[in-house]
Amino acid sequence: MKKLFPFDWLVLPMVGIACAMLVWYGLSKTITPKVPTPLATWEECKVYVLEPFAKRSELDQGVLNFTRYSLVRVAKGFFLAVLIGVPTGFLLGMSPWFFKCFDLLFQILRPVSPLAWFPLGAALFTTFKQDALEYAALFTITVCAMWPTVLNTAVGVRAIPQDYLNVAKVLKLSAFQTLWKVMLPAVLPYMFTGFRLSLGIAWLVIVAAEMLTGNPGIGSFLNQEYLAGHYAPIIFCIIIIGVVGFILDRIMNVVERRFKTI
Amino acid sequence: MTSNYLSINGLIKSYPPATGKGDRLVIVDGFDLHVDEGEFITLIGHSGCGKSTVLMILAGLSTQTEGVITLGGNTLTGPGLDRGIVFQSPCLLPWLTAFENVMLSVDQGKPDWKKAERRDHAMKYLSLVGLQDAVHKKPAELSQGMRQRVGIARAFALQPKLLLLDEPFGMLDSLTRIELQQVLLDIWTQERMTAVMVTHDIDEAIFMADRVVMMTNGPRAKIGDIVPVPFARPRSRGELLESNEFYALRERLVGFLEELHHDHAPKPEPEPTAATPASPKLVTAPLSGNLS
Repeated sequence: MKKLFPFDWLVLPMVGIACAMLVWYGLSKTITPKVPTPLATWEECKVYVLEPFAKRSELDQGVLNFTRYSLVRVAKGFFLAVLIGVPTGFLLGMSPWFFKCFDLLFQILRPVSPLAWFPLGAALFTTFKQDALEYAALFTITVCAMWPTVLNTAVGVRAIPQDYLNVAKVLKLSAFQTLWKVMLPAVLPYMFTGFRLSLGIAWLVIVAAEMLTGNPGIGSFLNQEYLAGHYAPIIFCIIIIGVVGFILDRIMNVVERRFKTI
Repeated sequence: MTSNYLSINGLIKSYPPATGKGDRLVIVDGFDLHVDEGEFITLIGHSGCGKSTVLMILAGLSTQTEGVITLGGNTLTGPGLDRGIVFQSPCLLPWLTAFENVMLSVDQGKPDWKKAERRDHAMKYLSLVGLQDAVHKKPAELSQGMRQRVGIARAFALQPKLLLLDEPFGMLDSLTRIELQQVLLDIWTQERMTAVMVTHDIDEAIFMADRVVMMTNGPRAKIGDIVPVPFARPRSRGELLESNEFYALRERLVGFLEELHHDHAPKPEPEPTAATPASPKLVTAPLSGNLS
């Protein structure tokens, strides 16, 4: 039977969202009167959506402007994380010596919060004066986001079937050819899983990083509204951050599947 | 035709004991074989007897503990493009098409050729294995038999001095197996390169080979007997299956392998083997006194 209505992927998720709205509405009407209702939130924040590219002042801009600033920052940090993470992951997967040297260190650094990395970044980049905080933000994003890429790449390298390496051996491929023609394509699916997770973390970290830098972006906007005691924009920001994160994940998911080599 | 083109002398493969103490675990204990140029050898024995170990050493993917192997006068150390290998699982790179998989081999084997020549060369071998219509398909789109055809094309396209086949049809159903035996034999008849093939299928061993080399059971495996196969080439399976000589040969091989089996795993009742209406008299293999 042909489905007349996209029940599974449209109607039911909408039911879920409607439930959340209802709880939100209920709470704001009863025990948390300071939190605006969904409608009041929309009334207060629609200016950011209806004029998405407006720039009234540094910290009073349209939603797409803020999102763009944040995305550019995330892109830079993510790019650096990939650039450092992939070779590190290859070394970790290929060399037992490297693994023994650095595995413990990585396990210790991995759970450190972005809020802890940021001050270190600020100290590291003091020579850049007014740009110091921006670099500190990038540093924080990179350091926090690279681990999934490092670990997934390493797992992928270790999972390369011996068969493929035997082909490389009997065909006398050079070390570089083996890396480029055999290992890299074999590890690619694992790497993309790492990239997807890394991008997710980078987007998670951006809010914290921007709160601390104050440079324009979705995180600093949220922080400013928080300091000013405006609750509607905070809820609005949470929704925007969530939606953008979701879209990024979907995009990476498509790219990941595109690169499925096995 | 050069005699002793491939020469395996005193090949020993052993591993240190797992516990670190005691005797070394000897897998292959003194394997000597001399193969003429253009000769097709099949290596047969029970599973785990070390026949694949010997082949992997020939391929350079494993190293012998002792012994010297020469091919066309050169001592073999490590892998080389003078040997083409067909693995049991075809070992194709799944992100490359059939054509690209063969090209990888041609690019390595014929680096001096022009691009167009290399492409033609790869296409020629893909056609020889009957894949001219599937050259741009990836392994996932090919059947197991077609994948092994690519594996065969890849090995032959190197035009190696020595062709090594590690139970190449072991994973195929019997119809595909018979088909591919013919494909392999047809190309081999054209190219006539020296070949060593590991198998545990007795009919296959006879059908393909000029000589069948039987290995004793491991550990400490060595050559138990070498049986020449007298049938003229090109061979036809049908004619072979009608000749008494084929069955006599078959009995001899089965007898040898069964004897080993009982030797190592004595059972109260011998397993009845449906394929062998054996009359014990036919088991005349001289067992060369090598059995433990």
